Amino acid sequence: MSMLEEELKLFEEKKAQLKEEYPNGGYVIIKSSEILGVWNTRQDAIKTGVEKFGNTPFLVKNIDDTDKAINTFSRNLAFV
Amino acid sequence: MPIFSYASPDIEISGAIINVNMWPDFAVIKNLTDQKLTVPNKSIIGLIDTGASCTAFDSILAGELQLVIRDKQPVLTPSGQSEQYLYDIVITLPNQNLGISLQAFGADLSKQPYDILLGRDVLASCTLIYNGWDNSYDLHFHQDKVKK
Repeated sequence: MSMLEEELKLFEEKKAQLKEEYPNGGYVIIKSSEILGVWNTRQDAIKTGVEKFGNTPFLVKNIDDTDKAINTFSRNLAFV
Repeated sequence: MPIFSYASPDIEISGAIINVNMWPDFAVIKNLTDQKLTVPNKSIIGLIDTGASCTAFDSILAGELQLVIRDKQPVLTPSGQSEQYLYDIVITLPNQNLGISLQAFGADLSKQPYDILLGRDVLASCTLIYNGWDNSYDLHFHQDKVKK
């Protein structure tokens, strides 16, 4: 499974529930199958995640995130 | 209000080029500092890209700066849409000490003369005046407008 796939899958499953529990929004941390919590700012969420897991991959997601794509019109971009 | 000015007869070809310093996220900087470890950072060449909503950097920098993946999002480019990993980074612009924290995605910029495309997420804290007839631009950075 590629990077953060398990976390992203769990986020999609729990998104509606998180939105209901946190109507004012926030940033959720998910590591493997664990939802660590929701913080008011992205910086606070990352700080907590790094304190707990060190500098390792974990998902930090705005619970109000839409599936809207990031737009870039740069023709010089290529993806690996 | 720190101001950066750039002038070059090649600006029409090169675009609005700027030297920036790139770091891992503030939380990682603190974590490394607490462990008395060296905080990786790199001076890189950026291109101010008003066509990009989100900043993109050369993927090779992720390894050099010990960046780790924190999200994945669809990215729409002229050549189509693809899912890309997002990293949390800090950049510092010339003439200012305050770091700008932002999410950016990795891309293959190895064949380009710059390492990072600074998008409108960076410009959200700036005033940019591009003066084509004078081959110059001014970038005014508003520290009080940096998004937390």
